[in-house]
Amino acid sequence: MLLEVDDLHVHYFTKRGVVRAVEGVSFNLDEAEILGIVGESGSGKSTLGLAIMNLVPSPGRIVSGSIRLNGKEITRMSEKELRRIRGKEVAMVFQDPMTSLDPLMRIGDQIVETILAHEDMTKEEAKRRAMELLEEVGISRDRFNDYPHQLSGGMRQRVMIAMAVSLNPKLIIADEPTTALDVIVQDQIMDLFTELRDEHGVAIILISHDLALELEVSDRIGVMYAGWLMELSKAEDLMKRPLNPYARELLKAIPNVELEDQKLISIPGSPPDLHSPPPGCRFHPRCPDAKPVCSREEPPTKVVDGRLVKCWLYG
Amino acid sequence: MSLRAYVITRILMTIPMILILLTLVFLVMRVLPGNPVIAIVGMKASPQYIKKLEHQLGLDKPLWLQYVDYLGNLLRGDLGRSMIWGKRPVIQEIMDHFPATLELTIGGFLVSVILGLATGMVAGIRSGGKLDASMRIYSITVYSLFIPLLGMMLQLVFGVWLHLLPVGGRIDPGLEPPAITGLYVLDSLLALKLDSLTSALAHLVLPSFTLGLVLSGIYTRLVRSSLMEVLGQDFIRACKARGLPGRAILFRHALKNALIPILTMMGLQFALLLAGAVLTETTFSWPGMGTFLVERITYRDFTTIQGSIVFYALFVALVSLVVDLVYAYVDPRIRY
Repeated sequence: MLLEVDDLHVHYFTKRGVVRAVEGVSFNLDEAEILGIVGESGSGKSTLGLAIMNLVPSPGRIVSGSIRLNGKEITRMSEKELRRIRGKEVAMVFQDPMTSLDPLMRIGDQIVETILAHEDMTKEEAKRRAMELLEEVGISRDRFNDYPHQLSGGMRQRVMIAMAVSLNPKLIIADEPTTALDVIVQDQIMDLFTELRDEHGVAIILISHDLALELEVSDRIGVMYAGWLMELSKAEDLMKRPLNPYARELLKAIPNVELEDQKLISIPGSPPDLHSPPPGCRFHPRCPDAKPVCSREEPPTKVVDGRLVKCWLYG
Repeated sequence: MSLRAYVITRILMTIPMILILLTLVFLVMRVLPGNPVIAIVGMKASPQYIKKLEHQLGLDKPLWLQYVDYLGNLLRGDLGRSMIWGKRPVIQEIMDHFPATLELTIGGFLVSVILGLATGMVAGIRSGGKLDASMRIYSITVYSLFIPLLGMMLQLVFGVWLHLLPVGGRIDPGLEPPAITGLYVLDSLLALKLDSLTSALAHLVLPSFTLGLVLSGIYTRLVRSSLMEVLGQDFIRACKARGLPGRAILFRHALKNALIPILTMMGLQFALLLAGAVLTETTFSWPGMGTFLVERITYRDFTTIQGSIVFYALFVALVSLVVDLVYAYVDPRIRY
């Protein structure tokens, strides 16, 4: 098993109180697997991604639970050990390629810098490797000396991906990697990710708010709501028969271009303020299937047909 | 646009800027109340004598012709002659005093930048903590110090009580290095005169520190807020996610980005320092432009005053040109 996340709790200790951004999330990830994490803004999906690199920004902190990468416990690592893992064993691609590169440094040098931070190589070797990487992600090697502002958004995201794969990590966490890009470029970037998986056996955690996109590329999908993992199923199972009512409502909300005159469906209400989440199930105020118990007690996480689901319907 | 094209454009842009500056100085000197001739000869001089002098100085010519003369003389590097002090060329008088001020200004500038960067960095990295709070108190305290008071306190402690440093002048008498640039530290280095160098440096410490300490407070604040902003940006988090060492992130990425807005400020501050040097010069009997100009203003030596203003204006224009060129070198986004 490449990655094992067990009962993870991440809290933000803000002035207004404690925000329980990730609560009791558990999942496993195999090599060469693409795991989609979907959820609305504020569902904790980005925090989950950062937690796997132990990079949750202050005032946030991993409160309890365990994250094992290749059997090594990440939550108990020193800064020094973490530095060696970040980039080398697990790499991250961020949402906004416009702001994720240092504007004052040539893109090639930023890749070289990343390689040299981990590998015992000469500058020349690292430079040659960086040029190969650029070509691999579809950027001509003459762009090596370009500054980030000379590249388009899609190209910058390709540079970010080149950097992410530069050290052959086993796992890439991509946090909304195409949200800031247009649909055509989004497709190209997604192709790049699937290629990485198919050719290099890289596992990918693809964090997105776009369920349709996830259904297309992911092997399994985890649905998050208000810090909870509501359901974790194979993509085709989720598409055919979602178990959790929230997942079901999300699926309904995907617009179908083949139908005419279709109204956009949305889930009534809005996600809770995590400073004071509702008692019981966090989704119950918006849930069409809510029972009396839902407003009183937190639902247990159950395994149903090999799928994880957190709901009183299966409790 | 390449870097070279940018440099050429920026230099060309300086020409109209300087022309506007010179015109302003010319007009202001003509509009100001007070007849320079009467200022020279006194109220009791006969009208004929005043006419004669006005003719000598070219003040009876039409304004546009005076303007043309003024620009023509400037082009030849002629700032006119002093109206009183033995009719010496103004440019020579300035050259006698300006290097001293420039040396003090550079000293003060270095002190303010080094202190400001160090305190601002500490505050920015530890923002919200106790160190941050003390750095903020430091910045507001030093900024509100009165230069002569601070200077005298330093003179008292390091000069009178501890006998560590000289309290006035630029160098010990007899040790003056051969005049090349007029900057004693540089000239002693060029002439390889070690005793001159130590003496010049020792004399420079207290005045530079007085001037620099007060102005470092601004940098503390600026560097702190700029660094905090950069440290919160996505690319810093991305650097961490790539496993770059903390020191590389801070110095190679964060600090470089944080210093870009500070750079502009440094140019402006340098001009402010040149002016602020006046108080420091008086406190430390520093033979620079400050003491010299104050003296000439009392005597209404109009040509010298006008010449000095022009000189300062040109110098500040030069500094801002240099700042912009450095800016373009550091920030690739400016050049394109």
